[in-house]
Amino acid sequence: MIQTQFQFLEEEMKGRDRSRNCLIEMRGIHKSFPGVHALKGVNFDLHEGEVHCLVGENGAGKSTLIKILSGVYHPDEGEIYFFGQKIRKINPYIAREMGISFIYQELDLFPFLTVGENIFLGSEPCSRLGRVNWKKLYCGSVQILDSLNFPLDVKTKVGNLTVAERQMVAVAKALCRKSKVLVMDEPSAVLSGKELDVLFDNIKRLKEEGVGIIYISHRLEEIFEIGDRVTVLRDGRCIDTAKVKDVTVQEITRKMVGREVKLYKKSLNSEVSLNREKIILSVVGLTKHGLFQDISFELRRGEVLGFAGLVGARRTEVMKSLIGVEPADRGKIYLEGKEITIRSPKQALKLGIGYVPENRKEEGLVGCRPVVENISYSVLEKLSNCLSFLRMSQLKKLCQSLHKTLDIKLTSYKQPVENLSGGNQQKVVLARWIAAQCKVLIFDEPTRGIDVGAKAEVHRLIKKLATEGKGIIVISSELPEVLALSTRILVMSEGRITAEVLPEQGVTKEEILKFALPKSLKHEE
Amino acid sequence: MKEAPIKIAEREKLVSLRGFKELVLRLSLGLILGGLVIIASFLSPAFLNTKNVLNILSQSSILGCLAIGQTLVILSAGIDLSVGSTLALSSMICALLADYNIVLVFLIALGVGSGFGAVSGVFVQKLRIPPFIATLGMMSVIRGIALVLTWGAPIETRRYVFIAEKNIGVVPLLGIIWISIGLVMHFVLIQTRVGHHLFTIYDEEKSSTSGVDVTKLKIGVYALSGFFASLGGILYISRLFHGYSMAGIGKELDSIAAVLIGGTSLFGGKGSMIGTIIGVIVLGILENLMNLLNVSMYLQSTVRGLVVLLVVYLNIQKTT
Repeated sequence: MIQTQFQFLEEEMKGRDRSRNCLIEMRGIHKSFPGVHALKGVNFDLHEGEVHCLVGENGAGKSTLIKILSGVYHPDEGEIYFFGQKIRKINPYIAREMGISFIYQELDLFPFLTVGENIFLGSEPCSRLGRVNWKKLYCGSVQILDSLNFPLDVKTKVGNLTVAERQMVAVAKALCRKSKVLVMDEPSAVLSGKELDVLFDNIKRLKEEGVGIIYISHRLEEIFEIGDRVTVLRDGRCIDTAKVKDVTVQEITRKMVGREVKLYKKSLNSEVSLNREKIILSVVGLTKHGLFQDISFELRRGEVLGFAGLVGARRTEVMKSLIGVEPADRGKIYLEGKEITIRSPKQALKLGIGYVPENRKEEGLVGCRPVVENISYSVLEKLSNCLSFLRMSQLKKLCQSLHKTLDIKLTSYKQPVENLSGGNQQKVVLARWIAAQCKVLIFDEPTRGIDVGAKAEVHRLIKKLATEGKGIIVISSELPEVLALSTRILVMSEGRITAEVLPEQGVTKEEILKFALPKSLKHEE
Repeated sequence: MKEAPIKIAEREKLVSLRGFKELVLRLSLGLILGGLVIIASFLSPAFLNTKNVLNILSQSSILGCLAIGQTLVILSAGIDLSVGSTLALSSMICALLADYNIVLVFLIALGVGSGFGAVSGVFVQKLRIPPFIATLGMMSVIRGIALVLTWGAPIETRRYVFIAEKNIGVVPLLGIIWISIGLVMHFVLIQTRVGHHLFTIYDEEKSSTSGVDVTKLKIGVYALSGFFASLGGILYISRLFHGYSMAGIGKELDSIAAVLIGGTSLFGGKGSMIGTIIGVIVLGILENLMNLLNVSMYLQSTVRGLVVLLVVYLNIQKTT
């Protein structure tokens, strides 16, 4: 096996032409970010006229791999060949010039420009003096959209379109370049059944024309509908590349989630008795139109309630409406038996509900400010005297005690948070919410982007908080994490709770994933 | 599904309607302008006098030049604070070189202005200094150079007065110069490839992945802003027959105000040159009216500030 690979390499070095078939080849790609080794020697290739699917759990390294391909990130190690030619440095511009188009999850469309302008941006039909031929541009856009079987008014501003329509504009934009390689990052996440059919028809047509397509999706059924080969990534490693017709959904699922779970093994805390009777928070029929429906659950003192699901299951949205960022349309929330309405996170905090957001850099921490300030934001009111001056001695005492319990590694309290490692940053976030002394704490992806050691420590802290009698909700897309942390797990899919399971009863990851996968691939509009 | 919702022939009609649609969108700004004219003509009978109207056009010429360049920079999500200083430096160059060939002098003045503009652009794009800081620095640097040339003393020259005195028909040349430049730039913005790309460079990552040469364009807009500021300096010396190193102080803020009145977003990507032209005229009318009514210079500043706030507030309402 290894030898054949070397033979490949030798052939390549001799300049043998394998380019006719192989559009993209990535070998031994390594990439590290502060605190995480995101890719550990990934190999990936793409041939003419095939759809190569890339699957993996969140955080497996799919997006990182794609961003390396597009030149947004540079690999630490490894070689990349486009059309058999070794590429030293890629930037988005070069990638485009070489005929590689990307359709990202965050679409690169301009909301203030019209559909036509967006489609032809960068390749406008022009006169010699640089005057844009608008007639040609708009007729061309109509043609492309018609060929996609997706007519749109090419004059409307993209900002006025629905997400699904934008997705099709992005596809049209990629097509108008006559790309040889098309990379689609979760194109189906926002499409409904009919639009999805249109997209698949187009993918099939492009395939016949010899275009190579890299297709990333969470919906495994899609892979079996359009994929030729599938590569499974897990923890930054390439687990398997296989022909789609040779594998089953179960096999892929198993490969996706089958990571070692040693770290997540139940610790001593698991036998702590729960106050099953003491319901601290109960939510009844929470609904927000177009996002989630009829979410009901109860949270007890000392319990860790896990929310499992895939990206797009709307778990974050539920929590955000719970703490009043975007209040729900319907539904009731009871805290310790009393009905409450929460209109803002500040009010939620006052009532004792804390939310530790998913994205600590953007929503949680103020990176350039010192650790001490970041810890104290949630308790400034409690720590200040009647004239709003801060009681510095108390603040210092608080920081010292939290520092000790959480074991945050820092040089001084004045150190800016952004200089800490990912794990320690997350601990600072935790410290803030512990300081706030909430009754209910909601953790959204508490260990995203931090390394394994720090993960275990965060888990220990979360359990410790639970044993202190707080009610804890954990949202995580990593199933082993949910399984190890939670006393009870709710599975969400497409804005609904689809199952409630107890890890104690030996639920497997595959079973949970079955509930988490969107049920209807083609639901009605 | 098969047939397109609008047939191609109909779409062609829509293409020609493009300009009209934009005009309608600008209507609210037009209404403000119209309202201002009506109020002004009631308040002061002298206002609608042809001579006075034409006077407003030529008085607005200097600010007009600055604002045209400023529009391009702001569309790229930048800002150019150095235009006032560049204007002063350009007027000094023209005054010092008054004895030389006039075409050569203008080329030097415009070249120096564009050069300094390009330097700002390099600071912003290559060295990643935020536009506000980069051009704040350049503002000081250029002002210093202008001051050093004569140690602050103004130079009088009537060499260039002929430009300001020239009329074509009844219309003063100064007015024609800035308005026609504005219209040309408007055409460039909405009709050419480069102009079209200008609307996207506020978001560098998206724009470059679409294949737009962001670096060239960003440096380009600062160079153009410097160019137009120098032109403003030439118009300044022709109107006031002095090269003055302290000229144009505060003009950079006026130019930004005009651009904002014209509906261009400070965050880039949205706006129009026609809007800026109207913005300049609105400020010109306001000043003219207050002069006619003998409003004190000190109070004028307050009134102008309030108008800027009001119009920008209306622009925000329009978009949300």
